[in-house]
Amino acid sequence: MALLELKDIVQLFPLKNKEVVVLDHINLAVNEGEFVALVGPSGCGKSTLLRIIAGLVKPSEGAVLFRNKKISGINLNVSIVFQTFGLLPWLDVTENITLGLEARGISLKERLRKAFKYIDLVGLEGFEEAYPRELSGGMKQRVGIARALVMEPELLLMDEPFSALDAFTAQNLREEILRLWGSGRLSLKSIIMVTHNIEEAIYLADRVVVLSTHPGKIIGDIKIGLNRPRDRDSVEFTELYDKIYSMVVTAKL
Amino acid sequence: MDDVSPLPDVEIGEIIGMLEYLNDEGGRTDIYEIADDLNLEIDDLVPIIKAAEMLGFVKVEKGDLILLDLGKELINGDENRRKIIFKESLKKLPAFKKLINILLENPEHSIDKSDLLELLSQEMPNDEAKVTLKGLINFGRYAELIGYNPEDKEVYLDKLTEEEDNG
Repeated sequence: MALLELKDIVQLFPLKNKEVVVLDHINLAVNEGEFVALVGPSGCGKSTLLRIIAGLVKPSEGAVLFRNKKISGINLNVSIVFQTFGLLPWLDVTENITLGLEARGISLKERLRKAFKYIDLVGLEGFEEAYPRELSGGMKQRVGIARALVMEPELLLMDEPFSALDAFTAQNLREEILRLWGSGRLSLKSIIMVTHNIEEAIYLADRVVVLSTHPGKIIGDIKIGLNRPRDRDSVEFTELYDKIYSMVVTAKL
Repeated sequence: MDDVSPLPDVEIGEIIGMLEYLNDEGGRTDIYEIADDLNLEIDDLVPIIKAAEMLGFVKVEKGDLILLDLGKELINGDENRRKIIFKESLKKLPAFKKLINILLENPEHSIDKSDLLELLSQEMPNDEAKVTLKGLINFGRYAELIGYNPEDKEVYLDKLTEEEDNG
């Protein structure tokens, strides 16, 4: 059974004299156990699509189904990791992580128990009482990841999670995500990641979905059957890279 | 007491990321190729290499960067193991040795951040002292060797030795 299904999603954006089609009849099913990457040029509406899946944006047409049930409003089975971390500067690491739990009325004792579990899992021990300004970008994103995981979602959405980081820190966090994903210690069933980095998509995902721009349409859905850890220099990797790269370039023209 | 040399201005994630990259490249690669491959300025790359070298994770030989056993053990380890390896390596660095001695001598095992900066400034130029202070706090916190309380602006001794059973 599909965990998530998008049925004929259309998103219109009104301008002064006309409406622009941002997303054009998107149909996509994500199964349990899948790590899906959405790639496409900027302006293809991939971040909007992520917000529609989370229930933060209502689509102009179409439906989002989670375990066969139509979602209206915020989808509580979903958490998001943002590109720019989205931490509250006046809260320390533990408080940032537990904010969502507090909003759901979970007791302080339980909030802290969960927070320390995920602080441990993402390697933030020692920084429990640090404020965001004291943290590097990589550490901030670890907080962003812990904050998403602590809600114990079935579906994790990541919007360009590594693109605000330097090359090595990004690589370090990619490995961390794969490690967490493969550890079996999470509630997660599936991950959807938006990225413009094709190499990153092939390195991490089981499936790469390619979107075109103006309007955003699915123009490719490629299975990545490579074993992990993946070798970026292998022939198979390079072939997939070439294939997806040419799709993205074509989509832009 | 050893001379306290400044710590490079780098983050833990950068060091581990570089070790992972190096491991993917088979454990040995030309330094200029790393810069080329990742579009990095050499000025950004050098402090990361220097830090990894100080910690005993890599060595540099004829323009090549080589992953050492300890570096390999680090990237193959889980988060807990990584922290222990970091802690053991940090304890050997003169800047950390000095900080630990200061903290041990103090009855509360703590020191004000500003006092620590002043002590470091006696050993090195002010800019480097600031970077070194930042490094001591960041690295020390990660390894759970030292703690830092942002409210009181106080650096304190966390756990000098590690029991390997939590996790």
